Amino acid sequence: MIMTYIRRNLWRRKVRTILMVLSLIVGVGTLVALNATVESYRRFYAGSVSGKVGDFDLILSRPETAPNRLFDPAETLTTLAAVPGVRTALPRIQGTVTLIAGDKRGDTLMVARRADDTLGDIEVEEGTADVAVRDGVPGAIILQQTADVLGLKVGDAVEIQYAPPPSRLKGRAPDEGASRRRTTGTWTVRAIATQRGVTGQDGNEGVLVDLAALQERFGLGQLAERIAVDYDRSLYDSRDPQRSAFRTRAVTDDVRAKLGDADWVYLMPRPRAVIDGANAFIFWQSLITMYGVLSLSVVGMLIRTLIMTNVQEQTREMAILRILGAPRTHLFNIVAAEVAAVGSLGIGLGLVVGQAVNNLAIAPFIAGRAGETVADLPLVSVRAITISVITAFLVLALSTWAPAHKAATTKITHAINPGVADGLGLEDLAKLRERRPDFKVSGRGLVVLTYPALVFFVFPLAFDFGILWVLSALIFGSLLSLIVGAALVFYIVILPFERLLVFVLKRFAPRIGYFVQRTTFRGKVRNTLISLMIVMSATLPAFLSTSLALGIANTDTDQRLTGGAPFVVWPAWTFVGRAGGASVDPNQAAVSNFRPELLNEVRSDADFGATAALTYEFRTRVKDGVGLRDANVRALGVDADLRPVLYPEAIEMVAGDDSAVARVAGEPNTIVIGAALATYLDLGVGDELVIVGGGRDHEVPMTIVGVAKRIGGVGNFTAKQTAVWGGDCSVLMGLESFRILANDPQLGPPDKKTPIVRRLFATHGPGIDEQQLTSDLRLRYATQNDLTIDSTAETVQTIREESKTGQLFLIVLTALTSVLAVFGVFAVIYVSIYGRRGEIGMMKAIGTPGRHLLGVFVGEAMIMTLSATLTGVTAGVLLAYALRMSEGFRNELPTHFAMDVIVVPAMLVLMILASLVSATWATHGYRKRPAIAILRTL
Amino acid sequence: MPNVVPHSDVIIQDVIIQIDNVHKSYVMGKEAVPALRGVSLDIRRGEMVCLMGPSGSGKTTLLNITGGLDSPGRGHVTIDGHNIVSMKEEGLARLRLATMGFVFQTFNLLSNFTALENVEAPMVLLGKWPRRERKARAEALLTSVGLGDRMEHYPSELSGGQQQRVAIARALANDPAIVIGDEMTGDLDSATGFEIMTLVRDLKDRQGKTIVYVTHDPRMAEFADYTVHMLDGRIVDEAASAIHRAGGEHPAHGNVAVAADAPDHDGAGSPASAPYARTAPVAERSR
Repeated sequence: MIMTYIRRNLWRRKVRTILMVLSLIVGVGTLVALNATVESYRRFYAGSVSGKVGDFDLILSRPETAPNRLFDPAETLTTLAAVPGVRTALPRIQGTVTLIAGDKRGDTLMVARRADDTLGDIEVEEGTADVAVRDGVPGAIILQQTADVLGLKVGDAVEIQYAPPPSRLKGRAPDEGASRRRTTGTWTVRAIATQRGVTGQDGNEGVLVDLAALQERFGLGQLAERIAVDYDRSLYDSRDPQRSAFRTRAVTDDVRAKLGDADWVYLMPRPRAVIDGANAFIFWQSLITMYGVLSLSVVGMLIRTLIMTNVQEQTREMAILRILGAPRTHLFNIVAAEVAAVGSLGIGLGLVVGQAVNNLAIAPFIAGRAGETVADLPLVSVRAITISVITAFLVLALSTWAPAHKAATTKITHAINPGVADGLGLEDLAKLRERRPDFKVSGRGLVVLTYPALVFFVFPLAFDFGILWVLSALIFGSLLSLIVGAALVFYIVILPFERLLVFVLKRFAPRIGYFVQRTTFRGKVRNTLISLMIVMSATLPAFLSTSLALGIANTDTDQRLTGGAPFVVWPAWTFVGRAGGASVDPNQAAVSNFRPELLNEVRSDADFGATAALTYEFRTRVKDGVGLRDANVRALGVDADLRPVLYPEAIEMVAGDDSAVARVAGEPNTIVIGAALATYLDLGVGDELVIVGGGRDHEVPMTIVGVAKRIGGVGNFTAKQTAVWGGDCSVLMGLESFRILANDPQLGPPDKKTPIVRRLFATHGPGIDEQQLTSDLRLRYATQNDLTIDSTAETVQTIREESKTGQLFLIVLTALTSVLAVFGVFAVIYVSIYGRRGEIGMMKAIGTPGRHLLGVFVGEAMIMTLSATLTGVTAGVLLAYALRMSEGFRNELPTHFAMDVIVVPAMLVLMILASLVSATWATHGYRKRPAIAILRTL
Repeated sequence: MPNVVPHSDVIIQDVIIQIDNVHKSYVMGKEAVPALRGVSLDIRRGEMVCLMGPSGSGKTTLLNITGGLDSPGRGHVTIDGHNIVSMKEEGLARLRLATMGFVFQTFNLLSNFTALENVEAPMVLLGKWPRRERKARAEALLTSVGLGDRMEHYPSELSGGQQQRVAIARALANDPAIVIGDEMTGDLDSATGFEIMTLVRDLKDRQGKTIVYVTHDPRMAEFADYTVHMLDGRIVDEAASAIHRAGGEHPAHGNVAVAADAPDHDGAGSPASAPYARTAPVAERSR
């Protein structure tokens, strides 16, 4: 009988039933999709890093101290094949070669692979990826950037000059002057291509050739330089990236047990990158979970609203059932069973929809990012489905509790005398007499305790012990409380927005505005819950999208101010001091390979404009003349005027002008100090400063010629006092002054040939494309001379591209949650209009035209949703600005104002559409029905 | 006791509501249940007519059709010269807005509007009066129903009788020719009910409004000029009320007990009184 009753009830309220089922479909679909997103993201995470560090888990090579670094891999390959967890092991010869194409030449990376080596992906831009020997000439695939720099095309002949990797004696540095056997061969360019995960480098510089052809050309027999080993992907099937990495280490331990570690160097690039990137993964996971929670809350609120309306409508029937003798549990069960029936249908269909969304939209998106093919995509996993179903039923149960409880406590009086049913009855009086503990007080106490508990206990513990899942939960919790808190704080802003929107409405439609104004401003049945949900749903995307927009807008300035110059060339340096001991002198610990000859060669490059070389940081102390105040500093020497090299905004002086940076380069014993240090020492331009030099009893007085708040890219010139307290301030002087200062006078005059330069700042010549020049410079200097080229333009470009990808991801998530919010809005408007049908009937009776009614309800709906959305947007935008400005303040960076022009407008449009459609659909029946037909239903 | 002006001050001449052979059925489940079976009735401008009858007699259906809230299945209905059978809903709405006022049993006031704004609402919809005039008019109407000191109160702050007074003021907002009342006193106690009916009667007597209303209470029917009795979808009788016979003065004078003397119209029984001689004979009015 219950089932028949439920069936009829559901059928009688078709619209509400359909609405619940639809919202569940969308809600569960979103949940499945979001869970699947986490799953897919996790599964592709390794794939994503593979593109950057190589599509292999282990690289086996001979150590530098081995007499011969090339080896016959046959036996090792057989051993590796027998190790559980090893999927493929492939021999390679990889190293720096010189490519000669006509009159152009350059150093680049060569990867010689076996024909069956399919690790990583190659995308051919031009030609065919055929590296076999044809007509006696082997083929080569030239990677895009190398081809651009050398001007290579398909069909061109290219010479490859190769030298096997050198060995060195144990405990000794490599002998750079030693002769090395170089062999040269000719290859034909068969393809220009891009790669992901083939070379193990994130970029497209290099040449790919066939291993057998190379061995044959250069007489290397069956020798290989390394073995690339790929492990089973299932090793990465863990929610914890650290655990995934440790699983791969266990496999490597097996390999080591079988091979022995004396003759081998074990490198695990992918597992290392997976661990390093774990924090980023945690952030994404938290973000996705956050969206899931918001979506669920909207679904729960929606279902609660609809069921509560059903229960209120059925009050009399419930009271009759009570009169007939139905126990309270029976009434409770009726409501619960009704929800269960609708829930099962909605959840079932939601699973199908979620799977479709994941397979058709989300997974391909992530796969695209990770460089995987759609065919390799996982379907929605059992885990994603289970989590979604359990969560959905939990939300259903929570949403049903209050309405079911209300049904169960229906008073018999509702059937006998509805007018007095809501008054106090005897049973209510009995309840009032009970003295019950006020849990709200304790609840408030807990809320107050949350913040100090997090600050003093939870965060320190989680960080100290590095428990990833706790960190993940904390990030999620912080994000959640940030959004919820901001939404609650800004909730008050909803009123001015309502007034503004009504004001606008009244300007365009005064009659409609007259009615809307009164209902909106005075409505006692204002649905705070839905407004709050909309506010929260809008706060998160607005916050994230504005943060992204701010990031994009400020990237250029941030990079110019922190990088300093268009190009920074870094040498490699080698540690030769005693490692690990406290006695290591940081000033002597590293030796740069930026020898004066190399430095001169690089800075005389025709493509460069002005240059300025900067020394390493000499850690010392400065004090005033009498030593009243002193501070630890990092001294830097510069050999040229920085002004033509650095971006103009990168130099900011608070005393003296920017000519000071030129003066220190040419004038001995002059110095530029930071604003904080000047304040701390209470010294200014023209004052004398004593700086402690290298060796004993070595102090150099210097004259302050400038006080800087910022010299971008050049040490730490700041106004922050904490930098002084931490000994983190920089001082700038000329290269010769630096050389004298850092030198121990007891050891004689400083050697001018000692390579003390650590950075070369450079601009480029006029009309030169920075991106192109970066690739060109890398080919010229990076591999051969072990120099690193940083390009500000390239960094800006990379950050912008990543931001755009983040923006796209955000749009997908926002669209998913907005669809749910639309359902929430619809449900609330539908229920609200249903509750006001008496008013509608009366308005129609006195002659209100249908279009006016529609206008009033659309207006009310729009004002409710738009004011809440605008409030959420305000909260999100201000929060994003607060964070950015606080970050800018800490890093002494300006903030360029920016607004998101995609996510926020899209959200507003969705909300307007939701209001329009909801109000139109919900009032449709009432507008068409005669007034009397409406009044008859009351 | 309200000051009742003798109806002789008002010129009663033309027919404002003409109902001709109206049939109306409702579909209940699989059956069509007739609510009106060929009802004909003329109501003249300035008359106060009460419809009475047991549940299911068709009085509310007839009232709704009279007020242009419902359409007849068959027959003709003309209101103030407009044939409403051929009118569309929007046209009917305009007619109702300009020509009619409604007073419901449950008041149906807008809960978020003050008394003044509730009265203003139909004027806003009609758009005939500028804002200041609209407000002044609403104030005058509320004062005329005795709520001059309750204008800024919300419905929840008013008693049932006061709410119904607001509803009456609202019904008069656009100066309609016809006021339709559906069980206007149904939710009120007897004393308040009498006050309201006296007020309504006053509208008719002072302003010449045509008033058509439904009531179950024979005492309230006595305020009408005529009472039309219905049974099973037909008009079975009509009679001039005591007030009419008494020349506009309600015989009860606010004394509820007097109503006990009123004829028992509940059912098909014929009223004891004959039609009032100065108006048209029964045969003319109910065809």
